Amino acid sequence: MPLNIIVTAKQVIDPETPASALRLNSQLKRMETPPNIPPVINGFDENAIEAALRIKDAKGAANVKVTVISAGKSFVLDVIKKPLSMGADELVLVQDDALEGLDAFATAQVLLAAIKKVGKFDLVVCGRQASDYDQAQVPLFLAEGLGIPCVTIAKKVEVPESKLVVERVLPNGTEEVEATLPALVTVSNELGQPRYPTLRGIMMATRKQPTTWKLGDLGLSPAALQPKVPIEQLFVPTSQRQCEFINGENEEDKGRKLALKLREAKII
Amino acid sequence: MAAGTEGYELPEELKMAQRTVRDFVQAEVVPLEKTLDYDAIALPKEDFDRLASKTREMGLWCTGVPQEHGGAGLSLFAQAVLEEEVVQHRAGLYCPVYGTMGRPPPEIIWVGTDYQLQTYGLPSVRGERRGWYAITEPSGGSDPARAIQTRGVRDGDDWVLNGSKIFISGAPWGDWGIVFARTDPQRARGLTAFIVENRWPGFTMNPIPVMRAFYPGQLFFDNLRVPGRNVLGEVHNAWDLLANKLLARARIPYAAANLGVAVAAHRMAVEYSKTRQTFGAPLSSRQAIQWMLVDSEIEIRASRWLVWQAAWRYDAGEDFRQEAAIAKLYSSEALGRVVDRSIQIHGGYGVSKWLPLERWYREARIRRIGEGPSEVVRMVIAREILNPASRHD
Ligand SMILES: Cc1cc2nc3c(=O)[nH]c(=O)nc-3n(C[C@H](O)[C@H](O)[C@H](O)COP(=O)(O)OP(=O)(O)OC[C@H]3O[C@@H](n4cnc5c(N)ncnc54)[C@H](O)[C@@H]3O)c2cc1C
Repeated sequence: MPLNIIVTAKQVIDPETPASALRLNSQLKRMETPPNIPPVINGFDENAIEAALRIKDAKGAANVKVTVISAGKSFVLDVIKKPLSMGADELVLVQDDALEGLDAFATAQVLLAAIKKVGKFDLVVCGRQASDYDQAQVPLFLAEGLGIPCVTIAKKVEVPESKLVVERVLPNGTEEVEATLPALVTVSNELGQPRYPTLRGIMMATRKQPTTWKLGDLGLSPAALQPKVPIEQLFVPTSQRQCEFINGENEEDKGRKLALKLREAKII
Repeated sequence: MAAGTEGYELPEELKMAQRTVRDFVQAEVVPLEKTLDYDAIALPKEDFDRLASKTREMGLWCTGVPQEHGGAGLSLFAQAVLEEEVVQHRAGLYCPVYGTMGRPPPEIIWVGTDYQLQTYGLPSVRGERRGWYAITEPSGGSDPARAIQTRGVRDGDDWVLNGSKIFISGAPWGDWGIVFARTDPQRARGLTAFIVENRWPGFTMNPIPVMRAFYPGQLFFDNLRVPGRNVLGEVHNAWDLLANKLLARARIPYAAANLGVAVAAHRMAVEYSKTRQTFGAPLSSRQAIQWMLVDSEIEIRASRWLVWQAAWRYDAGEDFRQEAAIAKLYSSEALGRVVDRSIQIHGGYGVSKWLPLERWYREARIRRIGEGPSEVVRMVIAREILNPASRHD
């Protein structure tokens, strides 16, 4: 019986997009990029894929099956197939016009239904958060929905025998925890650089077609996905800069006056 | 990877490979350049080994070399698409990824005998040896059929070479090369290709300082004795190797490299023009700047289609020489203009060594001379336009 690993991956705006190329659509409450800047797979999700592939390397390719699931309104195929070119076995896309502007809870409902439809799984691996809204909510809702243990912010994920062993990143160090399977783990960049696709992997990926489901295939309706946390307003905060030169008799005097100013402004 | 594209868009696999190479160059090579000498042409050994082991793993080692010889065996079209990405860093035009995707031997070595492949071709693919090729002589480079005066004379089983070659790229860092010498003085094209080694008695080399740090060398052959087994291809009949298999084909990846550096320089200009404010508005709001950006954009797109067309014809087994010449000529000249405009838009920063533009500007100038100077390439193109029936050979 192979170990079944499911990885969730999100297609996001390339965080390297120059600020001047980003456009905020305040009407539709979303960010837009010009069509010549393709999206990417969320960086932490690539770490998650890497974590799954390392387990596959450790246990032997035949003993682990890695299925990647992504949900969204539309996909750029040569982007979203990257996990296949890195070595994942299967790609499932939940693609539906209704999957736009979902909040974290609704997204988790979609992924939950997709995971259940995939069926067998021993481990779900997610990125710790997505680089677009940085909420880090979906994996927690997912674990709750699946009724399985959830271990967050991993820098190392191993499955010796049939338990999960995770090295977690803490603010001042790491800790090692264990969980029974099935379980969910979220992976951080401390895991290390995701592998590059190989040319051979790319050739294999182009020959594989993703399994594509609509919301209806999952027994879900758009009505069930109304946001619990709707976005009221999306805007770029304006910042003001004021520069004031502190004059004084000498350096010491200037320093004293500067300290006084900072104290008045409650900065120190 | 299959012969190329079936339609207007790149096939999926090529887009994925292109993105992989882009990510590799931008994530692995560009950051290293912050700590290298501005004109560096090599990486420290640890960095080289680290990156080379990645590219080998990725299957990106010597992408153009046939698979049976240890390369990736990509079509020329696929290579051209990847080359556009590979060169997008400061040293990219002449030292793409500092050799961490392999330094393949001159393409024509693959017509060689088994001995020649085992001794020169394969060790070069493995990175143990480095090859160069020598056509140009002090007597001239534009017209090698007439200008080559280096003589090869048979002596028993051996040949003895006397003469000189000039501006030979890679010779200062290589250990073997292919020398075209005149063996049949009765015929204008009575040339033979010899494989020689830098360490052989009678071979000397002087570096030639030029406007790029990857300087070429001048070679002197003084009774250089070459064993008969080092004749590459047919005796007296090396013209086809020289003109078609080597020079004409090489113009396609050469043009793709021009294209890639132009893309990188143009991207910098677009970004900078949007952020730099003068007289209360960004540069990009000025028509004078916009027109520069427009011209660069169009020249880049034109270069790309010309490169792709030439590569596509090559892979399809059609006569590609005219297309390769046009792609080489146009992309070399466009590169110079695009880098020049980008420098202009960057003002003082453009000519500083804080940005790669200064290096690209110097190195781009060589592109209108190397691999066939513009005037000579125009001559070749004209011949075909005026007399298409007799495709030049
Ligand atoms: C950095 C560098 C690296 C090089 N690497 C190599 C290498 O690895 N191997 C190698 O063999 N060679 C190499 N070359 C040589 C290069 O190919 C030659 O410089 C080139 O072919 C021109 O030859 P030439 O310099 O002798 O100029 P010439 O042939 O003397 O030409 C001088 C000028 O006159 C123009 N011209 C010539 N004939 C005509 C005509 N009929 N009508 C109008 N104009 C004409 C030419 O375009 C050129 O601008 C390299 C050159 C450089 C600068």
